[in-house]
Amino acid sequence: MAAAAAEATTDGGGKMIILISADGKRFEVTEAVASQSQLISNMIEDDCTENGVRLPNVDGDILTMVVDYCNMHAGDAAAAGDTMKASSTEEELKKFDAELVQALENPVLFKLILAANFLNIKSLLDMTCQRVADMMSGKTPEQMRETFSIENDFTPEEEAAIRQENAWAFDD
Amino acid sequence: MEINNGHTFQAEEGDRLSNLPDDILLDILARLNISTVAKTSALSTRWRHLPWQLTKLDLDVAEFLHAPVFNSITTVHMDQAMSALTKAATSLLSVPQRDTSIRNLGLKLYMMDSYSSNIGSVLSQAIEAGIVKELDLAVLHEKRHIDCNDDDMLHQARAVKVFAGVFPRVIHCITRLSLYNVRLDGDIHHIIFDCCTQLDYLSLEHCDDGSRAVWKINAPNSKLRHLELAVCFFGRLDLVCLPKFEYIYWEIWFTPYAPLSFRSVPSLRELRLSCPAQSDFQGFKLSKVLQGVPNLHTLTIDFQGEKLWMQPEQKQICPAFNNLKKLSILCIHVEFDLLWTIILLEAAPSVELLCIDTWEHVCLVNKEDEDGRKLVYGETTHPSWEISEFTGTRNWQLKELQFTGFRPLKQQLVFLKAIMEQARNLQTVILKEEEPCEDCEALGTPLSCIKDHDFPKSKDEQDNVVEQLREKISSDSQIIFQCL
Repeated sequence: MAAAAAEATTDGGGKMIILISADGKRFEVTEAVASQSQLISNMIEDDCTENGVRLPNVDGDILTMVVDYCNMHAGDAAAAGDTMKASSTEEELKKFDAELVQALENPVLFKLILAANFLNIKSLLDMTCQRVADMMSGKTPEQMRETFSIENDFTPEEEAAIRQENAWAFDD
Repeated sequence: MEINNGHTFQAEEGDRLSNLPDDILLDILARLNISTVAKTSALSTRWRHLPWQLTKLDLDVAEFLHAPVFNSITTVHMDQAMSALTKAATSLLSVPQRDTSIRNLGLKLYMMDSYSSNIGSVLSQAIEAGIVKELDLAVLHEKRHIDCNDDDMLHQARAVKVFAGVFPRVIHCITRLSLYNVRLDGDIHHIIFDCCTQLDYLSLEHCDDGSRAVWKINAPNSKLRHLELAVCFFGRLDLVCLPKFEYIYWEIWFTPYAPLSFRSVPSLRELRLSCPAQSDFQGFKLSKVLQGVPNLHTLTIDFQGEKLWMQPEQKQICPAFNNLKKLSILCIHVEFDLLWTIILLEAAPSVELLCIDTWEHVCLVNKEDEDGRKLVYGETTHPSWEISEFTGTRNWQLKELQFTGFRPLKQQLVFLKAIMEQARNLQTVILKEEEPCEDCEALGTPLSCIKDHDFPKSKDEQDNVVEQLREKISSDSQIIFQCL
């Protein structure tokens, strides 16, 4: 079955499948594009995509971003063994990814993380998790709480004890 | 993009980060340095125990080092940094706190008596409790290799031996080991190849055997697969027996003769050799070095802009190149002729990917210390390979040629045409612009020979190059230009 999917990509596009978001929006994509999601790739292999793939966890606006991302990266996976094809669009991809990730803010960033996790798209999950890590990096706990609206539910004594325990991390 | 219906977003604002599942939060934490990771434990109860659930952990003393530049690390800096690292290790590896095991622990430290033995004890207990499975250990040294003397190397070796003697359990767990400025004597050999029973990767930087003799690795039971050497002083490195060995990279050696020999390394697939030939280099025959390597798949040779350190050869190389698929010939001085490289290709018709990279650095060539450079490397001697034996009879498998640092210079065009003509299966020729060198750009004066021969950027310039390349030859290959 995997062989069939690969065949479809080589003759330019191949079979189409429909993705349906939680709010009922429909997206038509090629199998090659959709296969970047390990979840959907498995469904294609098991032949259960004929009536469209319902994604009850993913909103239409988030799915739009995911489909954009997968369209952009479709060449990637197909050309994994072929350095030429991958490298010819490498620059564009880098730019696309950088712009996408820079534009991401709370709460879209977290919705996208959950979608990438649910759909099992490793590269998108990596990129979005890295974005969160970059937003945390070098910050004090107070700054992190502020950035992400994290509520401090420790008593002052508890917090002091934790800081004391890990004092090595706090002296800079 | 579609417009989201605002009210649902509004209602769901708030702490979405903490609401992510554990595995995603751990994925995010795994991307942060260890101090930031530990700080997150003070965010809220949700985050309190997450750092102790990471399955991959990197403890690097450099993170705690507050020295301004690398070559001014004092004992005070090291002491502070090792003190913090010891506390971090104690906190993050302590048995009662942890319920998840660490699949892979990275540890970079200085061997400083009380600190390294504290860390060794904590680690031994963690290993005994099954908390640490694999250890990636780097034993750092505060001195740059040029500032390092015999005593430093002996001292560093002694420290490694003491640690290995006291904490054998830690040594058993090492899968990756990096050593700096270490004198490699028989005891160190025993530690690396007999005691480190799980060792998969070994990196030696500025290590020697003390006498510039032949250093033999004879380890039939070792699982070592990867070896990287940088600035290592051996008369020669003999790989006598390493049954699982797959990859070796050696950057900069000092022997005037062949730096390596292989005896029983049946799994060796990839060899990378990178060195600027020094004035006393005699050159060696690649075919001789590669005797005893039956399955070489990838070969990278890098000359760092100096004369070739290989002696000219013809068909003698064929047996060693029997299974070669990827050949990279890098940092060839921009003024050198390139046709000699075709001899290697002739000997390796199975090669599918050829990478060529030219070298030009005004910043090094025109520097005031040019005389000093000449003293070390000698005159830049052009390759003098006899290229009469071209037969063109063997069927090349070459599919792709990547040429980095392309400029429409005569020797490059002649070379490319020769390849395109002879490689019947060639599908793609990629011509890439060289990455700029900051030091060269600061000088602002291009070398005389390459003036007016910049990488073709406009369509007209590119068409012109394509026309020149295709003139009088038949080739179906596609020519791609890659600007930066």
